Amino acid sequence: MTDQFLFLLRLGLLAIVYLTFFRVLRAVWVELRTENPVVVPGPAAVPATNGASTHAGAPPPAAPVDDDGEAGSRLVVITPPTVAGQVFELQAETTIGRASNCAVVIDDARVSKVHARIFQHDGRWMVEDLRSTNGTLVNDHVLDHPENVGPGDRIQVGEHVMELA
Amino acid sequence: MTATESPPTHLVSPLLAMKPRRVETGLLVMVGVAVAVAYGLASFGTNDAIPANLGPFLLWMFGLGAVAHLANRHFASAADPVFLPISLLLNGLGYVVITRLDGSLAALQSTWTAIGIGGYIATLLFLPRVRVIEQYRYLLGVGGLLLLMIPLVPGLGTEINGARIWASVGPINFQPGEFAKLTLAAFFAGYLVDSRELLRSRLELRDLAPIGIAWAGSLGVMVFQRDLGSSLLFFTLFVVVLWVASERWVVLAVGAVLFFAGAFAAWTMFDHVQKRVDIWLDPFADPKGDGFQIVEGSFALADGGLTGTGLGQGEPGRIPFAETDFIFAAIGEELGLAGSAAVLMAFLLLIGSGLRVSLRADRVFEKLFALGLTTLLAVQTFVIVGGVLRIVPLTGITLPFVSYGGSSLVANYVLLALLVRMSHEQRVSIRPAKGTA
Repeated sequence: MTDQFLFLLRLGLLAIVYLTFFRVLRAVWVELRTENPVVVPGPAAVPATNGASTHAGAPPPAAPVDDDGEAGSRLVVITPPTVAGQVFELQAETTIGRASNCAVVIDDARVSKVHARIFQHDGRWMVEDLRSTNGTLVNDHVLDHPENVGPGDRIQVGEHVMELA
Repeated sequence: MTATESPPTHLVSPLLAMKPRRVETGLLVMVGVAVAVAYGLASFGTNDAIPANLGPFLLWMFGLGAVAHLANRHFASAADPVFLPISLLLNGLGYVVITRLDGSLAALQSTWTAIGIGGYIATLLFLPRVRVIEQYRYLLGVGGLLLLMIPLVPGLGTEINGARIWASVGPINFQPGEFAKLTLAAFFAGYLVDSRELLRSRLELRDLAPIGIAWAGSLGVMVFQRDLGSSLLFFTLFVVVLWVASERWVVLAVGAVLFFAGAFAAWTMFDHVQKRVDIWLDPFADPKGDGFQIVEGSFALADGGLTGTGLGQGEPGRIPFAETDFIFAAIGEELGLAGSAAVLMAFLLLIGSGLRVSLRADRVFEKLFALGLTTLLAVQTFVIVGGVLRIVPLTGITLPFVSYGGSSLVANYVLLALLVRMSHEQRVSIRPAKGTA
């Protein structure tokens, strides 16, 4: 009698342990799914080089230009992978920096409090480094004066890279 | 699958999407129930009675878990909720089996657990950012080497069971090598951050010199301390971290060649290595002598069957060192295949979480450091479980969190805290703007 009771209790113990593992896996699954980067129609704006060959089944991109304010009005985080895929809608002036009142807040010691800004000028987006300590990179070159940016251009602040889409 | 059909949605930060500490609370409660049931079962199996000290035990165990959980809430609120509960589950199961094997070790092991949790909390408390470690990389490297050498100092070092890995200060014995693992992992990561660009852009013979030095160093550990397990552990740690840092397969190939060359040389030169290999190939040649431990371990595992003889109802006490090196066989006997597979699964989940920390790290140092720490856990588990199961020759090393052993337990809790700290850091590195989240 006791032996059977102990056997059942042992099965119960194993069941709890495996149930714990199941909960762990579910937590991991939920987390990975939330983190999955959202597909953004950004690359469509740079169709000239890879549009024809790589997107076999996709309809030809409608070649969006800045005219409707749709393309190139978002900032998509590329790296680090933890936040990749996060999307920020560009405002008339979008500030990037460590301070909490920036539109895009990056908590990284190498990022200045108000590091850079993206603003609209003559219907085009411009990016300007706000005399940050460690500088801003646009397409891997150091930004020394405000520059025009369009879809596909990459802006790097600290180790965070964002792409205009 | 066209990109244009799915309008971009605003991502909620992972931090907001799930509440890691709430998940952790749930997991901890389940782990607590499992360990309590196991403790009761073990006592019932041995004495046919509900343990007299069940109350204090439960209080102690839930207390330690709760304190560690509160520390997570305060100092690492965004960290992966998997680390702490799984480690406590392994620790708790190990404690139950150790208590059941040798009651006199129970008090010591629970003290070491408390010190381990203390080390865990202290690490979280005093180390707000893991990157701080990077600037002390050379100091840590030298410190690690010194720690490794302490047991060789006459008067300080003690030889126990043929391995010279112990240091004695007054009444306290400890294994400095357990802590050397952590500092060396930090040193390797920091050192390779510096030389990484060079290694990736070109690869000449002299660039492989560090592997040679690491190889010579781990051979030194083996020759002077007769500690095969740690020797293998250090070498694997370095090769894996170097491989990831350089992104070159040739590193793995060179590492493997060097490993087999070193293993062969050790086999031809040292009697104790030859003996280990002979026992591994045929433990039944001398079942009452040299092969006794492995043979008894195999019988224990076979006796366990699918669900085990029941905690407290088997005879794992026959296996020499059942509470340290052979604890996996003891668990296999009393909880069967289901129980030992559960232990392996727990390690898989822990290692998976560690690798996720490494994958998601945005700085190279954290990436390599997390990888190194995870490799330590993984290789150590493989070496000892593989040794017990006769997949590789047996080398005496502890099963992390499960085996009896103070140094190992405390060092592994510190290792865990470092992974938790990195996990927390990377999940709060960016916050979405107020208007878009």
